[in-house]
Amino acid sequence: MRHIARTTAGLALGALALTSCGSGEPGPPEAAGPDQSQRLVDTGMETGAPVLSEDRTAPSGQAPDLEDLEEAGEILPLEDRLPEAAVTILGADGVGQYGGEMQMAMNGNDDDSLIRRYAAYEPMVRWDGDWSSDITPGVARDWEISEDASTFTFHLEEGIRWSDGEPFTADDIVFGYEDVLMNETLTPGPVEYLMDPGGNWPEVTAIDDYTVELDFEEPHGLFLMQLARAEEDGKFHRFPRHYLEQFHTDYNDSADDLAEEDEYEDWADMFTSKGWVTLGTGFDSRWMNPELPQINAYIIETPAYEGTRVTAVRNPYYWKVDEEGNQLPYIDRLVFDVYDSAEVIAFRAAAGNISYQDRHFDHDFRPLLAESMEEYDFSLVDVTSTDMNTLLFNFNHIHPDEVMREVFTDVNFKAGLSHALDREEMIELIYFGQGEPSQAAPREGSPFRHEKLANQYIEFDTELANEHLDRVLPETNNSGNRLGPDGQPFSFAVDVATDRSVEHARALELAQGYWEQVGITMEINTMDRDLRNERRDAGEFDVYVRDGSAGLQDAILRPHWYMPHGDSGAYAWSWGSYYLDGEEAGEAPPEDSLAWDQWELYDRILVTADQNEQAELMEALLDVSAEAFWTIGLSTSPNRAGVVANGLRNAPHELYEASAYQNPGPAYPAVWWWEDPEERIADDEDDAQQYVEDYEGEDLPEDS
Amino acid sequence: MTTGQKTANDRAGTRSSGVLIWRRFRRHKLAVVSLWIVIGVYLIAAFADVIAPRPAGDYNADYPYAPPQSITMTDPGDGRGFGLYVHGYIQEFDEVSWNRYYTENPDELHKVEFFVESGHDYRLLGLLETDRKLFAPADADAPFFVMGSDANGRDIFSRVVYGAQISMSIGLIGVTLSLLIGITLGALAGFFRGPIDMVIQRITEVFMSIPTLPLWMALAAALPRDWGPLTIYFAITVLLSLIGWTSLSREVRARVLTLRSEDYVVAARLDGASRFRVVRRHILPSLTSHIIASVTLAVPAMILAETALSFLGLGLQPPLVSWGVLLQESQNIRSVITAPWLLIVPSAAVVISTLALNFLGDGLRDAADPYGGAVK
Repeated sequence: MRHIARTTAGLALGALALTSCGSGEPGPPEAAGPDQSQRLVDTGMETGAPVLSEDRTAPSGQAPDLEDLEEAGEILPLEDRLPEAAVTILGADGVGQYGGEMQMAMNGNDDDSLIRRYAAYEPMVRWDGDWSSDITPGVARDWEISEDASTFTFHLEEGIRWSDGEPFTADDIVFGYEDVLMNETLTPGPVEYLMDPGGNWPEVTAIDDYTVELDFEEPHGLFLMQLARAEEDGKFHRFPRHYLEQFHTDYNDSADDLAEEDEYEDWADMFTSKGWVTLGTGFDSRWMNPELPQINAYIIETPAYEGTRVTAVRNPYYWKVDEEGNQLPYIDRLVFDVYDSAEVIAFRAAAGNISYQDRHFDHDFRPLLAESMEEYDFSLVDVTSTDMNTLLFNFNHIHPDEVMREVFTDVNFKAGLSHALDREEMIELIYFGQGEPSQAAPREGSPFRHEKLANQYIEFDTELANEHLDRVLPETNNSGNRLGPDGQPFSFAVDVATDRSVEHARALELAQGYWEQVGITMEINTMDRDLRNERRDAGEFDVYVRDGSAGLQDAILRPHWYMPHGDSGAYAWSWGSYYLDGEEAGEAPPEDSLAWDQWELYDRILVTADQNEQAELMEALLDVSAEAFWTIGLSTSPNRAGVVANGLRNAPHELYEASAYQNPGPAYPAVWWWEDPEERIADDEDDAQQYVEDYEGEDLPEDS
Repeated sequence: MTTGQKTANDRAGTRSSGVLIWRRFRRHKLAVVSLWIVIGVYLIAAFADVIAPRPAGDYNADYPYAPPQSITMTDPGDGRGFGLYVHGYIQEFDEVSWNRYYTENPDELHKVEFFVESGHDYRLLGLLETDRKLFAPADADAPFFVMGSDANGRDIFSRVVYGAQISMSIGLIGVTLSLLIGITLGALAGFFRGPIDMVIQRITEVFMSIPTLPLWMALAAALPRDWGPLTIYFAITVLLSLIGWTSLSREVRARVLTLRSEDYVVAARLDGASRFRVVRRHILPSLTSHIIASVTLAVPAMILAETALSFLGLGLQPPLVSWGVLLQESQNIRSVITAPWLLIVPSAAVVISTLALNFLGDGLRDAADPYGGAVK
């Protein structure tokens, strides 16, 4: 078995870029030097986010509060706490100073993902700050992948300790895998990221204290990316064996008695609550159980649900340092205030009370933030969302009505409607002139960018629109409305959710006008999101609109806008469920459907190890997407605004946004520091909540 | 409905109740003003096509969120003569806030004329085909937003005018319907008592026990999908009123129960008046004040409820415009901060109309009981 060392990844990526720029990019061949190709694989943005250093540094400095603890003998001395040659992070603003607090705002009591993004992006392997295809080391310092992508060997960072001082070893991973994730009582369902395309569990073995090997039955080509995305919480390296064993019935015969004492239903409930997800609230136990050891930069101080504020303090055993050997993190404490609406968070940010936040700010908040940023000393963060489209028209390809289905599946029909849209005007009116006309396609900056898919049928041309439509619905009645194949005036209804989709409703009103010009009647059905989803799940809709996601690196992980995959892509959700979960979950498409071709290609991607080949297959897959033209898109999503306090250094002012990316986690929040730490102390919890009182009378619309 | 002023005083005691009501009503100044306002609102609704300078859905992509223009009386001195003018706008797009900032363009004046040809054909009251507008800029393409424009560059004034059509009509039909059912059944139950009362009360309870939300959802599924949005909305208000009469019916029944044993009712019956006449002439008039009060309260509730239904996909859908729709469109931070007129103008319309209806109802209620208070 030949192993490809990680260091060769760069070469493979270069090659991948060369092949992927073959389509549509008419650039001169000599431009495709190594630099150029690297840029194409990368998302194309240099965010200036902190990066992992090639070199390692011996720990030499620590925060004053830890010095005190060390002197008092409560923690080990610095050199014993950290690895001798510690992982080193470089920030653009250089070495910082200790102290201060960072303040953020959670949207609702269940927003634990916000805490995870700041305090706990410590996956086995990481995305980098520019979200390039080049996966960087995390808890695993190095790895080898067998040529057929079925065996992954990870060499763990040596000398990592849990936050209680116990060493972190391969044993913890085997425990987390075998005794937690594979334990049917604790984890009844499958853990998708960990299973190969055939749905099989891998064999996980600890070769020595710092080496773990995963053997899959079938090749698992996307496994590294799945490890880096870290969006589920069932990561196998988060379970500290030495602490959790006592709650596990396999290791402690009296675990059930212990559970009874603590008033849990059984040992499994106790174990889950102590070490994974708190029962009842569904909140991550790492922010609920202060006893649970972690390997993150911050550990919990004030657990969630105790008040309106969650706080986390530095982990004395955190295993990363800056270039001078100062132990990270710099900032003493993370403070998360809980609010129940995005509006209050926006007002809070506008008053300069949020240190760094890139989520929960809709476009509508932008003027508010921009107009107050000078007065309150903060700047806007330019957030490039992975959302590749502002609005997708999902025509129901499995419509129960045969006439509708026949029309909706006809590419000419969709092409005609697409040509009839004046996208420039829509962008100007609804999206402030920001963004480019685009169909549902990976956006600029994605290695899977496909020009044809993005730009076909895109220009506003009523004549061309009529030409296409004449091929499907040639007859019209007296009032100019096109007649369906059954001779009745043809019309369809678009379901749009009322909440958070004001923009969609407005876009539809414009589309209604454009389509009237080409003889197509569209009705707009605004309704509650739940009802809309209900109708979608029942297949009882004509057209379902929503924004399009997964437009960057994640296009290959979540291709549901490019082919039927799972139940997210509403144009043929039942086919997608059939593909993912089999006959019981959905129905099979007709034999001549292009979905079959796409699935065959995607099946091959899943078992391909080489990123180069993956990209080629993905391109072929997108060729078919262009042919099928599943959905009509509107435009690329405009960048969103985040906020960053002006005194915060090393924090990126540009970044990518995606749930698969866990921003700003990949930008190493541990290495951010304050210019004026003594000034940066969070305001009083009650004062912070005063905002809610202040705005309660205003009857602001709810955000969900 | 005019009364001879000179004869009113001396013959007060022999006047018919209708005349007395009117006399009393006129003393309620606020109510009289409100009456004119309500009439005015209905005239605006009826002649919306003439009054609104633009069709309701007409948008101008060049002017989203344009602030209200002021109309000045001047003579620009370029031969167009003395008259009413509005200024054009100077726009600036801020790259950071993505906000458009508008200022008045002193050099750009658009003349506003009366009964001008707008190029948008319509049928006045469904009869007369014309394109004349009460007032509009002489140049049909000129920006003309006396009360500002919305996010799509639509004229708010025109939309509010068109909104009156739906807000002041369809909702009222529902209110009237539940009123009729409620009074009839309540009066029947209260007057006849016994088995009839028994049956009506049980029916009322059945209706009261129907949970509204699942009922609406069932309706949402049951209504034929080829109905237009207006028909659906009308059907919904009718259906809602068919179950909304219960509490009014209970109240009427209770009042009738107490009134039927009053001396004057007994006297009327002993005089041989038919049951119907007793109810109509002697019992119902005493209930008028209560009924009017509940109607005037129901109207604003109905205007606001039209958008509440939208979350089930049953409310008004674009391109229909109503005040409720306009209010809902303005419920976001961007509007409140950068375009407050989106909120203020429709709110003012709702507030003025409902206040007028309330005062009118108030005056009617006081007046409707002409024998109740001392006539001075």
